[in-house]
Amino acid sequence: MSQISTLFDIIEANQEAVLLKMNENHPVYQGHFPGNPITPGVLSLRMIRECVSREIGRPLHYAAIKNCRYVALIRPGDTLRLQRQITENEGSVTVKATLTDANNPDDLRLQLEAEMR
Amino acid sequence: MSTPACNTNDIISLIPQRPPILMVDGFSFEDEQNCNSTLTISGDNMFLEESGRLAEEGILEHIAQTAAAYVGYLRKQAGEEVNMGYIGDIKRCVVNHPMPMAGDTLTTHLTIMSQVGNITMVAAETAVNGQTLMTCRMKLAN
Repeated sequence: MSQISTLFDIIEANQEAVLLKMNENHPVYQGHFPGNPITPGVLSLRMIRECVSREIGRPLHYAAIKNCRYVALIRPGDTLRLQRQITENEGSVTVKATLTDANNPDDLRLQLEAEMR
Repeated sequence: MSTPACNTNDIISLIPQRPPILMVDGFSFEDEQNCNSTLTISGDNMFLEESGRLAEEGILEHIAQTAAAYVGYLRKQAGEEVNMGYIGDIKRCVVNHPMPMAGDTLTTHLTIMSQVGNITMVAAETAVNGQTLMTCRMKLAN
C-alpha cells in the first residue's frame, strides 16, 4: 500500500456518492504545513483517482486534467462527499466530479473534469 | 541571466512545505517570467506507488512547489516573509506516461503568465531525461 492510501478512509460508497474521512494523523500534515495542517490540493486529485479506480476495478492514472478548480480548503478530520459521473470508452475513463462537505452539499471544495486511463 | 541554483537547504528558506512532502531540491530564478527547478526522486518519496513509479500527483506537487519557490524568491529579495500557498486551479494538464522512478531527476521550467497581488498563473513543463512528462497551467495563491 502506498503511503498516500492511508490519508483517507472510505466510510460509504453507493451509486449516488462516496463518503470519505480525512485521517488527521497522516504524516503529510507534518509538512503541509507545520502548525497549520491542510490537505495538499494534489492529494484531492489522488483521492478521486483511487475512488474511481476501485469503481472501475483496475488502477487508473490521469492522462489529462481539463479543469480542476479548488474552491475551499480540506483539513484533517473533514468528512467529504464525492459525487462523480464516470464514462468509460475503449480504456479511457472520463470523470466529472465534485467534492463537498459530507454534511453540507453547498460547501463545495473541488470541481474536476479529467481523463484517466 | 539566471541566479546560481539553490540547493535543498536554500529551498527551505523559499517555500513553506517541509518533509515528508518536500518536492523540490533545486531552484534557479532566470528572470521575472522564467524559473527552473529539479527533484531527484528518493526511494522514500511519499508519492511512489506500489509499481515503483511516481504518482502523477507528485509531479503536480513538484510544479506547485516550484511556483511557491518563485514567489518565495521574490518575497525574500523584497525582505518579506514566505507565505503558505494554495493551488487555485489546474488546467490544460497533459500527462505522458510512464512516470519516473526512484533515482530519476525531474526538471521543470515555469513560465510566469501573470502575477497580480498574491495570485500567480504559470505554465509548466516537467521532463525526465529530456522527455516531457507533464505540461499544465496552474493558478496559485501565495
